[in-house]
Amino acid sequence: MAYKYCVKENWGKDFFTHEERRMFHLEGHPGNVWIVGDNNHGDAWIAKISGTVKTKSEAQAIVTGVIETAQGVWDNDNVDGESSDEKIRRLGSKPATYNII
Amino acid sequence: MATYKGTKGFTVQILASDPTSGDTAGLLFFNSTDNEFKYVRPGGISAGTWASGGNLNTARQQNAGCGIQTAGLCAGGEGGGPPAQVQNASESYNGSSWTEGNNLNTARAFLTMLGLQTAALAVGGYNPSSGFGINESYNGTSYTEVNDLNTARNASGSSGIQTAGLVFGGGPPAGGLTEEFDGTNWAESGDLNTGRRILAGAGTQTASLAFGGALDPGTSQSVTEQYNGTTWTEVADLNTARQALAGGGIQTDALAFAGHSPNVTNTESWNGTSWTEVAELATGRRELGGFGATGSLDLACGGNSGSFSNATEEFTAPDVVIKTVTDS
Repeated sequence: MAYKYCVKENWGKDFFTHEERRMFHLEGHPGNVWIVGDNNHGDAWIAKISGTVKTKSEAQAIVTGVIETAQGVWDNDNVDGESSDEKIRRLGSKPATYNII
Repeated sequence: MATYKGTKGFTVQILASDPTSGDTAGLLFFNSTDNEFKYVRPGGISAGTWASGGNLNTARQQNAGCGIQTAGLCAGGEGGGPPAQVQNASESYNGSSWTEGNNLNTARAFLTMLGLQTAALAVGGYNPSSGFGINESYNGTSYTEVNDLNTARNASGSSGIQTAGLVFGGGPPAGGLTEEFDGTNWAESGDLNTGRRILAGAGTQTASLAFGGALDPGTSQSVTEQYNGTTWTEVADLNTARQALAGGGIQTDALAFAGHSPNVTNTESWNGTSWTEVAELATGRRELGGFGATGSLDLACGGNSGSFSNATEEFTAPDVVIKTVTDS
């Protein structure tokens, strides 16, 4: 399956509808990156939301950048006397970078 | 050649709006408002999808929620910063947008909530200085502190209503303690067979479901257990083991969604016997709020999707799906 990539902040209600979810693949990622099924319905949705189209590598760089920022925040969020297990219980595991489809 | 009238017993109908009843499945009709021929496909849980709902006013993770899809409540969690702060903000949802209401008396993260938008409980949780057994009752306007849990904890699962609630699991350390609330007092009941935290729950005080979660230090679980008012019994596992997930519904019709690790979009439907994968959330996240009256009408709010999230998604399994007839 082919995909397109765009960036747009989710404005809330009706940003994507049930009908649209039935018509094309849609994934949201950090940095307001959206992976959109490459068909007419996906194109119409990108137009509806006025999404800024990106290449896959551009989209990947945005996602990775946001996660790396979150990793830095996680590293620097410490409580005196807290063990590593306690930190994971409090914050969840450290955010990990990944490859988008 | 067979004709439509010969097969269905009537000619193609002209309708001003799309039908919504399940007994219209198979119908071909002309929508006079849209000027299009359409047909009706069967709906059900396999046709369910997640659509975006109104954004929370306060982005957060480790929040909790309760209620129904068109009348929900979300409170607590961790957001802001860095460094992030535990939250006392409470918001109510009307099916379209969230409105800030009166705050929790005690800011906390990893609390659990049960009940309805106008009759809820906010139970347990933690802030950086301590864990909590704190229990606050919400009447649709304000929170009032009522009797604490017998055992202070966070990241529990819950089910039931304000006057007949159930809280189970949580930690630290991860445990299976279960307590029943009668509207005034907490009483200990049978423990979960698999003690765990950051799990999800659904159902009533006498017919509950507990699913997913984590052991210490953090191994994700697929274990599902059902409660009969006295004891927990293990039943069929989730297809995808996960922790920090959310869920809603009743013991025989529930939905499990999101969680990690890593953040997942997976959604599974429980029919009383087994879990089946259904449509995925658009955005994977963990430590979110989630609730629903059934496994067909649910809501996911907040959580962590790489950063604190204010996003809401609404799961709806329609009775029918309307498709437009095209010439391509």
